[in-house]
Amino acid sequence: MMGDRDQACGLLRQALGIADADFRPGQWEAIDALVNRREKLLVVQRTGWGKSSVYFIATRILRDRGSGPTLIVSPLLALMRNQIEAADRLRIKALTVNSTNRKEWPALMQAILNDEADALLISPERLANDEFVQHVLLPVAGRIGLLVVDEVHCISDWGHDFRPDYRRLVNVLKHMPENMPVLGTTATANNRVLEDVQDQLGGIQIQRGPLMRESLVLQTLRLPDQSARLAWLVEHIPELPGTGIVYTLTRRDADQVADWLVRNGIEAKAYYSDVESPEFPDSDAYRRHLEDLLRDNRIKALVATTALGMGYDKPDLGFVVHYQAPGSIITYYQQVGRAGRAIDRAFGVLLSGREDEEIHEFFRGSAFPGEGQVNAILELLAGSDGLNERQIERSVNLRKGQIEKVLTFLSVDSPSPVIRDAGLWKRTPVEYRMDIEHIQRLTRQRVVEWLEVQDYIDSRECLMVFLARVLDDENPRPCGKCAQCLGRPVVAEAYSHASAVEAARFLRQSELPLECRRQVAKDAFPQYGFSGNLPENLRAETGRVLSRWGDAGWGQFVADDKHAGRFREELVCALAEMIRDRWKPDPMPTWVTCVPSLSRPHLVPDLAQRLAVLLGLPFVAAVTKVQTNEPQKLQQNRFRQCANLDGVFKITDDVLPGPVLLVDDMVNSTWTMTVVAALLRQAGAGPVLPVALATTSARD
Amino acid sequence: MSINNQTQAVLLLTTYFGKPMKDEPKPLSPTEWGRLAHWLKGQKILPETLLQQDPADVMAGWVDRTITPGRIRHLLDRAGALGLAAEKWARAGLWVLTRADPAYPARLKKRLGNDSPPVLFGCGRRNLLNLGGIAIIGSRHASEQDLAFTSCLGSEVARQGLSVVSGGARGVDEAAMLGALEREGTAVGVLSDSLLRVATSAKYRKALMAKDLVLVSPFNPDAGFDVGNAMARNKYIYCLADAAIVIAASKERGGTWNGAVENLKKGWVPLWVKSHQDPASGNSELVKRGAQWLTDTEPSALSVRDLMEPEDQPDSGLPYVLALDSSVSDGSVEYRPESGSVNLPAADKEALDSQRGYDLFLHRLKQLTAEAPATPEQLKSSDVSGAQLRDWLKRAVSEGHVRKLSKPVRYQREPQQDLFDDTDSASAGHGVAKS
Ligand SMILES: [Zn+2]
Repeated sequence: MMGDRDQACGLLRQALGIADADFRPGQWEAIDALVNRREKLLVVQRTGWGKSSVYFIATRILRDRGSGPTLIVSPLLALMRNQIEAADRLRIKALTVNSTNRKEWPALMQAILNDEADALLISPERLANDEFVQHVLLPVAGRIGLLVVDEVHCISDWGHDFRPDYRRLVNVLKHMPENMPVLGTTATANNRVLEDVQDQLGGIQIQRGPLMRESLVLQTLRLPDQSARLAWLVEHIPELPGTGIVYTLTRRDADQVADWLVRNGIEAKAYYSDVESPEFPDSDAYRRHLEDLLRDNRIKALVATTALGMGYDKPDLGFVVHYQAPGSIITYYQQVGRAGRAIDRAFGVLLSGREDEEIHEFFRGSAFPGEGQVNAILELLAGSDGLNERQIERSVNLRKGQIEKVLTFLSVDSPSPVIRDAGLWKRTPVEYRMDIEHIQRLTRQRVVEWLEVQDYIDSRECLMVFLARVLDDENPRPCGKCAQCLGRPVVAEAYSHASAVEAARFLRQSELPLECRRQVAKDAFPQYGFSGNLPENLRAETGRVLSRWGDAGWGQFVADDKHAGRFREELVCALAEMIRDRWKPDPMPTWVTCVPSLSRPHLVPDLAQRLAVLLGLPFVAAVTKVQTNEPQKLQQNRFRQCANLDGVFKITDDVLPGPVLLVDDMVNSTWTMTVVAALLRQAGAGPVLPVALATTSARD
Repeated sequence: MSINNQTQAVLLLTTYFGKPMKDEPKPLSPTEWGRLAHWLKGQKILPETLLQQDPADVMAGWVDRTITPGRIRHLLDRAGALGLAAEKWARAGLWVLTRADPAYPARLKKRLGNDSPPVLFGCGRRNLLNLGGIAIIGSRHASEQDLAFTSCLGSEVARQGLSVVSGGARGVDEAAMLGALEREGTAVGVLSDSLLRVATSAKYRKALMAKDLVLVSPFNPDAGFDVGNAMARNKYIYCLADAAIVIAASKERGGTWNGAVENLKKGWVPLWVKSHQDPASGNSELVKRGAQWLTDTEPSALSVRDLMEPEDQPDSGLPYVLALDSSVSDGSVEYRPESGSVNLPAADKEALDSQRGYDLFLHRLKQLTAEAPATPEQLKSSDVSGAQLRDWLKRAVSEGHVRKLSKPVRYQREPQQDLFDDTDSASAGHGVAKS
């Protein structure tokens, strides 16, 4: 009978390709519990301990006994190369089902039904997708022999990054009969998280190893200004060993930092959950490409949000630098703990800026949907047999993203007041009351965790001991190599004045492309008669926005001046400079006009006129507002935003035939620009080039 | 809360979790499960043991032509599919009952024995399943006139304090159930397909949430329409009721006809048919085979209680309501004095409540005698008169639920006739409903 230690050890040697390899502490015990006792087991071991050896060897043994394939639920998009090699050596055929290989799903399903696959890898998002479960997973799930869940700490409420997909996973695990062995793995969990996981899953055994990482050299540094941090990055990243990760809190920061590093000759790429590139069919494919680039050391750094890190296991990662401070020590450990796995020395530097606090406050405030939003959607669904997203959008004044958030939030409850079935959201006959207290408790907990990060940044004791203590690691001892142990920085804190000046200039030149809409909401424009795709000859060209509302470059000035009632000359000059020196639109505009407003009739025309003077072009007030409408910013979704503009603007006879610069102060959904541009084109204007001072679209 | 491990074992052995696949071993039929369950009981093996130990070892000594160890193993290996499916059922607020659950309808077990469904999926107020009522039967495609009659009939059954039992399909089923629900009566819908879809439909949602309605199905809640399932389902409608009324049957064909003929053959409940102009209709043929004409042309002239067998008629008693208190996390049944909020016209509640009263009494009696015999003193309750208590105890003894011991007088619980009924885990509600 397979399944004794010696034979399993033989498999380990085979998997690793090392003739005298032996199990690390805990590995055999985990395999034994899974294959011989069909237990449910949670292992807490640092990255690199070898959890994939455990589940591949368990898979091999179970398969040889006639069990079905292993289902691996992991946030990583594909097995890491070293895992694939290990699987190959054990003759384990592992399949991945993800959004990039949709066309292959039927063939992959067939392979599983034919008993040709030994392991199936899917993401938690897939598992939370009802259509996927119903049509792809359920038909093959009858044969699953072992269930593996990576990053299992995510199922805890107390986890730093509570994720709805994992919430769903908990419920699936809860309903797994006891003859299904389950392995959950994590490298970051303190006792509270473990207790929560144990509470939720019941009957799960826990195995814990030490989490300290000896090769890791830690340091913290407060640099309030973004320009200072950009300067620091550009001067010190080249000295850091090998390749690594720079973590930012938002996508926009990831883009901006990557852009800055590239401009300064450092090969870097931005990475976040739906990052895209025209060269790749979709975001998943591009992200896999980016993961490969870093893994193979073909770039110096990925500039990433938390989207990178879950399950990312690169043995020789040389550094992890935080451009902004993460929200909790557990998140920090998880991210920094990816470094220095199989090398002697790696760096973990946490920079902290002035904006961190505000960003985390935003994250906390927007983590849960509002009660009013929840009730609006439940009431709507209660009157129907089920609605799709588009129908919901037309009936409630909420953004698409808000609607999705409400539905996701509700549908992870069990029982849930809503369920997605046959492509429709349906109200179940389940009483519902939003648990405000629970939400408040979680929010308070996040504040406490954030304060703990502040303590870490200012810590005078060994930084590794600080982390280990928060993670409830047993007997942490001073590392002897961090900035606190040494009493001096491990990476110099200084940066040159020249770099800082350059970075400040960069921040002020970080304009964004302004893309107007191409497709309008159905039935929203009965007066203008727009419907479906806007014809090419009515669309606006790609324009520019100077800044983001309130940001570190121009955005703060825009916010201040809008309030004061007149935009300062510096902003007008910055616009002109951007248009002339950097954007250089093709064709060049021959005249300038602007979006009118009835409530503040002079603000924007004044801006547009002064800009026209600087550009040496005529200003023509060719657009008038003939109807008052509700403020566009109160319109939360596509249909409302379109319908609110129907019949509102009119083009005067003064319209000129040449290419025109269309000026507004603020853009959010870009519908106003889209509609005015289309009307201008209809009235005989040339190509419309939209330009604005700031975008107020939600932080992402 | 989650489904307990015994229910999981029964589900694995008897239920499809998705569309049936080619070459996939079929789940056990009700009769097959009955056979296996009987054997397991004889061996003193609980079904969940099959999940805890190697099924091959557990089943050593079992020989059966169709239920092979390979088939059992294959069915049990579907744990992953069950986990995924059960998560969805739970999320939708559905629950699951097996024959071992106290809430499992006693009428089904009594009338169908081993043929009663091993598993019932459901939604809404479970204990309506044990209250019987009037089955109203007819087709999806009924005439306007028949539908109007059916709707009045449903409403009248409600007014007279009984539940409507029907199939939950469009046409007659829907007219009968909505007729009762609009009158704030109660209804039981026995579905042959799409439990999940029907449970989330606007027309039944309010009644489900108001606990006036229970929908059940012996089939996977995601299963679509299937003629075989629809036929199999018909007998459960009759067996859950105390009397049945056929609105219109086509002679010699269709589900209504077949179900009615089956009921006549098996003698489950008295069968009544609506009088019909068309002499060629199946209704008169059913009368030839033993059904009775409904003589009253207007439902309001009808005394629905007279349609039942005399012994099934509820006698007068105390107002009790059996309630599943959602705050009780194990979903177990508890006594609760009637608060006056039951959704029945007050004047007609009494009769229904007396049956409930006895059912409740019986339930409490079983609980109180579970561990050791109980004295009449211990069984007393402030809500039950001494005379009533004596009557009910006598009835419970005659029905074989308890045995009377003397010197001193005590009542001892009889060993259960029902398989696994005594795994008091019981209680465990097995509902997927509340977390
Ligand atoms: Zn140290």
